[in-house]
Amino acid sequence: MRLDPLIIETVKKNLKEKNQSEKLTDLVLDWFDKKDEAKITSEKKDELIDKIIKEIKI
Amino acid sequence: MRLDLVKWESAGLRCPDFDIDIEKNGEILPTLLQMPNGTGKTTTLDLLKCCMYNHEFTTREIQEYKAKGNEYKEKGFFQAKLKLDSEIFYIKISFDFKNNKASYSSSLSSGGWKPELILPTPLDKIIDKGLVDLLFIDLEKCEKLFRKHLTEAQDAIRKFCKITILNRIISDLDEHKKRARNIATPRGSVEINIATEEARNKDINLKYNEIKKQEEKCKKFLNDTEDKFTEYDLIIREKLEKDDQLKKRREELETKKNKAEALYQNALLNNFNKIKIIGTYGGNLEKNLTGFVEGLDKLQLPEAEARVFFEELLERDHCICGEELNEKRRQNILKEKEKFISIDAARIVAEIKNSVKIHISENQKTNLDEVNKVTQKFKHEYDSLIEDLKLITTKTFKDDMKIWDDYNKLKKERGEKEYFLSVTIKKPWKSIDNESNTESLISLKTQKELSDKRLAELTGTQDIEKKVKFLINILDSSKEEAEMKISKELTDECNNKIKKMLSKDPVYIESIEKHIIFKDQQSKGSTGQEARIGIIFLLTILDRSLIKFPLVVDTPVKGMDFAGRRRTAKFISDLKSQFIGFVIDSDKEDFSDKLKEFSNNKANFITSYRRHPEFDKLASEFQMGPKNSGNSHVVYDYNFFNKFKEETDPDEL
Repeated sequence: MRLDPLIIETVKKNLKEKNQSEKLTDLVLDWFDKKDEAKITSEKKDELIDKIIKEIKI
Repeated sequence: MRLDLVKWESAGLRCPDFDIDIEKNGEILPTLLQMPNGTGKTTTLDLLKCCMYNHEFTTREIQEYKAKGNEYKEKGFFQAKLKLDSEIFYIKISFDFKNNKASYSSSLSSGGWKPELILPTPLDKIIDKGLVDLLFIDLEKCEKLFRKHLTEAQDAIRKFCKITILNRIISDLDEHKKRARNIATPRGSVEINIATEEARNKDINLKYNEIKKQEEKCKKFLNDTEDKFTEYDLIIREKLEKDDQLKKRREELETKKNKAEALYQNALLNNFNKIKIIGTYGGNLEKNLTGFVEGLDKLQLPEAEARVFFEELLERDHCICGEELNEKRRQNILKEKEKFISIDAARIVAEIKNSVKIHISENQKTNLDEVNKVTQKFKHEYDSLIEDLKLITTKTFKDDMKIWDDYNKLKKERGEKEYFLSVTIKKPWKSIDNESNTESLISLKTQKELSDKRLAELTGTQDIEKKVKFLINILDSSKEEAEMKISKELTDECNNKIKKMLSKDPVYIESIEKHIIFKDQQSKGSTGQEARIGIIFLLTILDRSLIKFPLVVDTPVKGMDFAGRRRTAKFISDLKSQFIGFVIDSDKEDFSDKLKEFSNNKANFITSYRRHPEFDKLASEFQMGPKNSGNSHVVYDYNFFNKFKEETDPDEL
């Protein structure tokens, strides 16, 4: 991933602070990665967002 | 991602017909390109930039690229060969000087030449003019990184550290939410409410984007006029300081004017506060007010109550007077129904009546005529002092009224823009705000959130709305937090480099937020200082970034002492991105030799010049003389590079 490591660390930390699961963190970072590489189709993106939304606990 | 500039060639342009190969034995190495003044450094730099984004060439620009005199040709071109990771691609700009046209063509590895600018997709997604201006930079013009109204330094951090990805993710989440709403749209009467709210949501977005554009325009205006305004300010101050007597008189008047202004404003406020307490007025007004309240008492019922009464009446067969309700009578009733006051108006009337009732019996009455007299007296004093100041200004600037007028016009315009940026767009949200009556970005953002919430309720997508908002908030705060941390780390790293590179004249950085801020309250650096700090910032951010883009710099050691040049050579030799520096003969000492040494001879030294007997003779001495009759020559040799010096001005020969 070409994102600055500090961004990844900060997102991880903030998700953890809001009591979110590691699975959600992994899904979000996976999305960053795919977005960065422009390797994601609209259908796959929608599937990924659906998974992310399901995983959010509030 | 790594982007390298491999080669470029030009023909039929104002610069000589160059064919410059940057690759050396299949490798991209740090390169110094020596081009004497007047050989086309600026033209080359500008056209290299234009190869990276779609530039709209104006007729004037096209004519500026045209070769002059007997070198004129109707057509010309500039072509760059680039490499993105392992993919080679070409961008060509063709000029038709006869018809004043410029057009792009490009060739990617996946297909032949296409008559438009096409960049490989991963590159196209992140590159824009702002980024290109930073990567292909004339250090004499790097002031944008330091200007308070511009955000070039912040934009560079966001792009190179890829913070911008978070914005794209947030935008995707927003889109996803909208799609969920569309799928869930119920039928019937709710559908109309949804359509209305969607339209409003769209209008809020449009207004938000419009204000964002306005914000950029204001920033640009303030930046573009800053030097001019500072210059005017200096002239005005010099003029005002020149005549001691006038200066003293002006200062006295200014002090009096400020006092008078404060007294006048105070009187106005006092007056207004008294007027607000309806019912305390004495004199004729007291009688008028009593009559007014009596009139109010005779006013009819508030609209809502009247509406119920008339609607019930309309449903009956007979009127309350016993007459049958035919069509004509029904129409009369409908007309009467519209005459009643609205609920808001009824509330105001009630407030007035109440205030009069409470205050009318008070003994201490306010004489508004007296209050008005006092206010007018202060206003008169203030106006007179303003006139006196105008007179004294006319006297001071009698030979230069235009400068004074221009200065004031610019001051007013800048004041309006500054107010827009610091107040208008930052006003807090109020419940009466809508997209038409506010220019506040904060208010529009809140309006959008409320509209989203309402839409979620209407479409039954509250759960998605809540979760998306939750995630967006986390991403937004992570973005801000990460940006702050990166800025801090970059500031420290830059200051470490400054300590080493500019040991004799260190100007440290306080912070890098929207722009680079110097330490010790120095608001603006000299051109030389800004150039030196500019290259340090770019070297640092490129080194940190995982995107390896070429840094092409005109005059990389501009204004640096020898120690600074040596340090710069060291940083360039360590840089993981491609580096190309345009230099002239006087830049070489303690720089090119050090780059050769620090890079263990793995650097590229190229000299390109417009053909001239003096330079051709030198090239022949190195067995590298030109073999054709073209108007340029390029030599790839360190010794020639080192020896090359403009001994005589070619025009004098």
